[in-house]
Amino acid sequence: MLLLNAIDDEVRAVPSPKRADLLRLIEPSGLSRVHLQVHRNYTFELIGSVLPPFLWLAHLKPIIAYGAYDDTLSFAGVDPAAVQIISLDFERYGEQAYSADFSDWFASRLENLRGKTEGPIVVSDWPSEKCNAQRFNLELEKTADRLPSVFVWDIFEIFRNMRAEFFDERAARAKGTRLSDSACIELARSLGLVRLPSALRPRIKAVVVDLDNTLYDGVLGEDGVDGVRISAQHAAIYKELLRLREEGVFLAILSKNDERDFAELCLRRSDFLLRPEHFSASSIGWQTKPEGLIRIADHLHIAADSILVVDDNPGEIEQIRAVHANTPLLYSRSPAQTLFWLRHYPALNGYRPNSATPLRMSDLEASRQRDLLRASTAGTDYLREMQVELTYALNPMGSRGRLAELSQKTNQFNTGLQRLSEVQVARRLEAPDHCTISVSMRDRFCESGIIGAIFAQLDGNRLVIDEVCISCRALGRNVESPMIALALAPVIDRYGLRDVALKFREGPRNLPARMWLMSFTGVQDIANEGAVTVAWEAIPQRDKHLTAPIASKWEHMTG
Amino acid sequence: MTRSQIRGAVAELLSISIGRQITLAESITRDFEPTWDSLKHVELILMLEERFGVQFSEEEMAALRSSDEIVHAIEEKSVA
Repeated sequence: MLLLNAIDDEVRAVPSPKRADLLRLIEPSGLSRVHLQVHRNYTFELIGSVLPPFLWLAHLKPIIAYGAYDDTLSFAGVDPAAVQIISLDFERYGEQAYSADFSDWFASRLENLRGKTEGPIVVSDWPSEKCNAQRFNLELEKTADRLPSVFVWDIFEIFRNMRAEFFDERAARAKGTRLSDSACIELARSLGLVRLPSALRPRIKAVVVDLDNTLYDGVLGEDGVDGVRISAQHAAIYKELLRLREEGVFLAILSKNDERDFAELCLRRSDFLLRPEHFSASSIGWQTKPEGLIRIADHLHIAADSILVVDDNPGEIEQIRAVHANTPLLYSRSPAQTLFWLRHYPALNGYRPNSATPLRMSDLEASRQRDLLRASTAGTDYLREMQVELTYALNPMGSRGRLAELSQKTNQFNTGLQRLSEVQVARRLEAPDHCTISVSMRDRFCESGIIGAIFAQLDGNRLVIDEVCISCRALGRNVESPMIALALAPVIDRYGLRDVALKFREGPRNLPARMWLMSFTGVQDIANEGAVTVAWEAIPQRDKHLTAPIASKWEHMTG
Repeated sequence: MTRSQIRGAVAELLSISIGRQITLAESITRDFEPTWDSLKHVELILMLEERFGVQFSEEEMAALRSSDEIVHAIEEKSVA
């Protein structure tokens, strides 16, 4: 995504973009359609009409369907393929909204809707500082945590920032809403840039920043360490970058500079709040930016299209785009602009904390130590030295979000490429004829968290495995086959099964999964969209896998 | 702001709102513009308020049914 055009200027206008400016923007080409179904009791259309330009920046074209105003939330005629948006003016419920059971009623309506669709549900909270409204918002958060793929749209936060500007009662009857025009635009901006992209898109995994005229004003090589200028807005940029790092987003530097100058900058300028250790990778030197980006992506074990590059040089931005067409790109024209986009860039903000996220950085550091160990040992010695411990859980409902994330994001080691949503995972976890296994891993170097998932179903005396996916963080330790064999053995035993059928779907990047499937089953002819069926007893080297020098345990085995 | 400038700005906002180019010389009414529905009308009023720094009451909003009436109302509010 390249933000060089008029859309960028309009959508980040401060304090708010103007309705006329947004409505006159021309839709770019190449957008993916996203169907939104809005359940409301006020004129949401005043938000919906200015929503498209914000979503265009996430490459999405909204097709919005509105039902009749419905205070009862009957959810008649729900489109199961659409993203559901619920936005209510809670004041319309009068005293009812302040009764103790209003939250319960609302939660039950959300459950009802959850049962009708599999896509994300986005629900706005109550923009009021009254105690009962605050209590309602807390209960809403709990309900959203409990139900799969239900996301709270925090409009209370916007209300708190805008205060008196948020409502405009003056012509509320004629407009069909108490919201002011600027509130409608702010709501569209937060929905379009942050809330919807974070419900629909995988998160950007790394932010790669240039140095000169991006993290400070000036050119380090010419102005020197003492000559570059650091403003309050630059300091705010540093804080945003550190916040993203805290949330598990890798930081890296991609700059044409002398690495020694950067080290000196970190050492001598106390107002430069970033330190070398904050960056998980760097490419500081004289190679081209596309080359440097490849180095960083390789180092971080992530794809270049999950990296946001921030750079002040349009020529270099274009160079990167020519080589990495799908890499998100942010043209840093000013510190204010960079700051805005670090807070609002689609698919960078608005994500729920995830237990696996903070582990990524320690895992990356540990991977270097593993490489050293691998170089000095071999085969089973390496496995033994690694002290791998696997923890399995059968049908772990509490991990549904992470299991869905593995299904959706894993590209290399993913046999089924089903891209299961959180709702689909939740349904599998509850179904008596399905079994879903999570695999957590730790070794002597670090805790990796849940790095594997097996989605299977019982079919007579067969265990049909729809998908095995393993995070790339766990690959390269030669533990894939023991990991899966140790997961399957107790399930086969428990249900008295004879055969294992492993489904396979070919994708652009899942050759490692195909290679593993061939090795694990001994079957060389793996058909796309087919299944390889083998007797459990006939799995080649099965006993070797089951007796590999790996500690394993089951956390719980329900279902 | 002159009458001509107001007329030009109103034509521009009407063009955005109802989705077709309105010329300066054109005088249009809601009755003959099928896309000038109640929602577009509210949006138009919001844009006019923002552009000219004026405010319309609910009654005034309902009474504005043509481009000429809008230009006239803004002139009056600007003078006031």
